Amino acid sequence: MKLAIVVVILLATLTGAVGYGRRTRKGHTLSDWAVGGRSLGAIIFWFMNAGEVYTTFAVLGISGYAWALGAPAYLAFCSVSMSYAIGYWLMPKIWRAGRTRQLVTQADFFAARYDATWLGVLTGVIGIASLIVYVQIQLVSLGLIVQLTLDDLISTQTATLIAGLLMITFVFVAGIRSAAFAAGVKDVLMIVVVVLLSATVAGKVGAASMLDIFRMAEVQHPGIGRFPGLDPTSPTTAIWLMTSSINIALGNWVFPHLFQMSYTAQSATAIRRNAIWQPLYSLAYFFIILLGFAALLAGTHPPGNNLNAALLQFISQRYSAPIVGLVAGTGFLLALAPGALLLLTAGSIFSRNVVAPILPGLKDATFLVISRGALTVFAAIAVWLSISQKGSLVKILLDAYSAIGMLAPGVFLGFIWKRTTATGVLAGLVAGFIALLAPFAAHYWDAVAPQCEPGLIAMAINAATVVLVSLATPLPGRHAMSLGVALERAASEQSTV
Amino acid sequence: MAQGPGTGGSPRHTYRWLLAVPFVWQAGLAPVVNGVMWAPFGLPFPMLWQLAGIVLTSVLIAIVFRLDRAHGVELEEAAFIAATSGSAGEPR
Repeated sequence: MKLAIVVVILLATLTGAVGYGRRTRKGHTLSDWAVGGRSLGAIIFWFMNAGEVYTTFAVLGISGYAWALGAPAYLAFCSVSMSYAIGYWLMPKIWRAGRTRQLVTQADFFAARYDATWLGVLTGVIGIASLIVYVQIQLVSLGLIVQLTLDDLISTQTATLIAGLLMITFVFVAGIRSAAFAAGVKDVLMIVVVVLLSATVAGKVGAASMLDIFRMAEVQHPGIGRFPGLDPTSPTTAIWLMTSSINIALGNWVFPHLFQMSYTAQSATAIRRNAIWQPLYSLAYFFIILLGFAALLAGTHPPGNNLNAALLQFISQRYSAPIVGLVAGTGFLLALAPGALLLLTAGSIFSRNVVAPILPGLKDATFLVISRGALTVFAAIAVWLSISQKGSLVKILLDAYSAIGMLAPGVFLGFIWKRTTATGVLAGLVAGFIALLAPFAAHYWDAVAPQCEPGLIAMAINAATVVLVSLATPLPGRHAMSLGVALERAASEQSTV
Repeated sequence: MAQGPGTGGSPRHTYRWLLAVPFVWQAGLAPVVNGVMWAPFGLPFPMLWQLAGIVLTSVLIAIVFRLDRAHGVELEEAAFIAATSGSAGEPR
């Protein structure tokens, strides 16, 4: 029953997605493929953005955090609203730069703004590395869902391997428009699942109502509703929330796939209008946290005390087979659709920003082969990471944000300070990565500021270095600078004169 | 370009600093509200605070959107789109 529902959901979505991809493919240019011809109107743009709200991180990671720690799961409430408060201001700037210079990837922006092809190569590689960590989140989740579907008949390793193969197959069969279609189906199914589960959850754990679950949790586990949560010795204090949420908000639009999303919009007004409504969608995390608390009240013990599996374990124990099948089928899409988009982005950055500058004059067909080969390798690395590293999804996500946050100073300063130089950005990256990755630095932050997100500290060191070194190095050309900071206000003169 | 508090320090866009309020509410005040024991509807106060912060963010962004429109940002953008649409497909 369970398996049958999963297969039906997957096959139906895949058929619809491939059909949709074939029908809507208009052009074969890279700009049509990667940035939707810069013509996405308000509605499709809304769905592309909303697809980033219900992710495996949100559903499995946040519910797991609520189950294991309690209040620290509130991090989810900050992530979307604070990101859009910044996005309202930043995304139109990215959009404008993309339109002015016909940029396709984030690395294109770095190369153009700082007039340095080598910086495009370097930032492309860093972007790919962070995308691989992000794919790891999808794979860890997908592995758990494969296990749920197959009644834990196979090991975690095998499940992760199967998950990796599924993802690559999905990318090759589906392509980018199909992945976007599958993401839409996943969003609708996810809302159905959340409503179904939340409406019935009180009865499953002996609570009088949905809100009663929070009261019961507080009675059984005093302190669960405030920081640091269930475990009074946990470093997840309110300071942790503060630094982690700021790190997420600053890093969010710097992720290559989200940076590129700004290019796809038809107008900056569509971007800004979208930013008004998008935060409200994240109120839905309330229900995810509710389910995490319910799993705790139900005494759920996921195998190996793996917090990422808490919600799935709770559902498989307390709900009937058809609902478990629906959850599992939705879970497959939840991981596959974003995973496919991430791998496609990583593959195109590799061929366009890493290979092309080194080997100029390659044919389009060769680029496609290189892209596909590269994304297969990236998926393999992600599988290896998923198997060799153990950790909560929230921790992996924060690691991914710390890594991509290293590109944030170059993006933000590039838009607000014309003096920023390529050498400055390079020096900032070196200093930032040392502060983030060197063992001595990690020990030091742990001793001095255990509640602080290390990524935010490293980002501050990075930004300070960019400013200092930029002051000592020559300015980039006027044409390059004008991409980030208005020098002549040419466009505004046209409209006002 | 006339955008944002940082671009050339254009004084007529100072209202965009309203976008910093969610950071104060959701991140800055988190340690302060963490000690509030009041639990309306049985919900932990720090959680309600974050939920309210989300609604507040949407309201603030909507206000800034209106103010931007009143300050001619959309007109300026339309002119920019018109000026760049001829060159679509060609790097400039």
